[in-house]
Amino acid sequence: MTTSATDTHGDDRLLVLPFYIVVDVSLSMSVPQGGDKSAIQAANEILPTVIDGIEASPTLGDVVRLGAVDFSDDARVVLRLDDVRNVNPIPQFTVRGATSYAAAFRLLRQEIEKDYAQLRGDNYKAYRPAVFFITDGEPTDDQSDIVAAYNDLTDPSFKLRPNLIPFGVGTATKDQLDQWVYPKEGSKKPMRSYVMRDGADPAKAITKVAEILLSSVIASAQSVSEQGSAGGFVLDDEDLDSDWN
Amino acid sequence: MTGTEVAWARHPNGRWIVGDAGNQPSVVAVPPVLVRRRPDVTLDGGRVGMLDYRAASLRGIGHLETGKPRQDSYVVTVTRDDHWLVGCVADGVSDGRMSHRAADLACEKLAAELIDGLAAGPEADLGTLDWAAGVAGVNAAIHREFLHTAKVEEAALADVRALMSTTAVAFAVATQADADGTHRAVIASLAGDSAALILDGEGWRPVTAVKGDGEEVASNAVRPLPREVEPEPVTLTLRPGDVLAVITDGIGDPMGSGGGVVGRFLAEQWAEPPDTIEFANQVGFYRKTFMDDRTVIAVWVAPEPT
Repeated sequence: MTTSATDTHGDDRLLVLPFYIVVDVSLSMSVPQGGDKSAIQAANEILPTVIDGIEASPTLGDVVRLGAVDFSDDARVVLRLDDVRNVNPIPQFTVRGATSYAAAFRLLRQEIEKDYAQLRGDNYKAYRPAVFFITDGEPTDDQSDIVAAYNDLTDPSFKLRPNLIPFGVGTATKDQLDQWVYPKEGSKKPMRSYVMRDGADPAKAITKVAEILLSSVIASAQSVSEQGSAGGFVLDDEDLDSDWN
Repeated sequence: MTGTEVAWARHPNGRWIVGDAGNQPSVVAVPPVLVRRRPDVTLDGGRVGMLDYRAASLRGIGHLETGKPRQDSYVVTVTRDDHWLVGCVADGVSDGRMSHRAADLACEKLAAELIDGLAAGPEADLGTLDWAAGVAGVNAAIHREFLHTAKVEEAALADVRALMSTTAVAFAVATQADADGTHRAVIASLAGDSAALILDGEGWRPVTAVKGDGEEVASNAVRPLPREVEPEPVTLTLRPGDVLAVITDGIGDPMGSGGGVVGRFLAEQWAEPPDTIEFANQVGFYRKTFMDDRTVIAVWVAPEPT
């Protein structure tokens, strides 16, 4: 058999599993709600916790790629998707302004397309990404604008459409956040939202996000190299406690 | 670093590295939890008629690191008259805690069915093998073991699959050549995307569908047994000097359609039947991000005498 250069290239591709952390950096995230820490301070502990966890295993870092995006009036890339072993120093989320989900969804689609083109160029074959979306609710943009951006991000014809898992603290409600889950209930492998229960401390709840993210990273990395119905990303919240609904 | 430039070398510990090893050499194996008496490695090799065969099944680096058992399985055997080499490889689906047993049962049942179906020896008709009976036998065996294990009276196949399910590829090759010098063979991929490839003077050529071939985004979705399936066996002939490799996706994923560095590595190592223990080492190469169990049955057809 003769193989063209591109065939050979395709056969040599390594597997990767991209994760994105998306954090609401509206001003309300900086106000402590009962505890010592604000939500944004807690959010800033997610990346170090997850990176430490990934580095604790010899092989997780081979497979996992981590990126971070924040959003307020606009959305910005905080950490370009990368091997966590290359991340130094670990970037910080800082608050500014309002809350545009639409900006976050639009930037995500752009970044995912850009990152996957880069991964292909670097000879990787990537699973569809997972997005952990952390917000304290009350988006300030038009509902129709958010819906349009969400539909674009999760368009079935968009091959890289992410698994979207919203985490709500503060005023965010289950009703509000469930509409931003992807894929939704009824699909083959539905995702879900997590909303902090009334009276819980947002900072403490956000600390749990790091745990869910890390255990999902581990479960997913296992599935990447194995036969299974999960198809890459596996949401693992077995150790979830009662702070979340 | 591009795919065409990387090559292979021995790690100081003796293992092969194909391309980039990543951090795989630093993985410390821990014993599988709750599964006793299941070897991390099984290995066979021999000669029958004009065929040499080697078979290896290795617990993957991911399972070594996390204390899970090898979920792959194989059977390689011959018919009573030695006229057919018969085999099966199976990949237990990771979600199921008892999937390694589903893989074992699938291979045992399919090999037994093939041995019965090939009882006519040289006269056997590969076109009339009863694959449906083979699948029914696998489904029944897995179902039966599920009922026993779960201590229940009845269960739907979907419930069975949640605990134990598997892919399977079964095959048979004539150990003697026909008058034209070729060997008759049949291969059936019964579930999932385990695959078979043939190595000849031109390189590797897939016989069954290659998992994820042409797909931009990686995916692991499979439709495993036990399940009602209509098998689509492929009959073919092997020529002197051909090598048939029947594999699980632990080897199929890094290999793709065989045109990359892993395909070239294995083509070089398997130009002739290797020592059986070395064969296991060749299957167990380090390659970054490929951590699944690996199983290969390789069959060499003796070259024409020169």
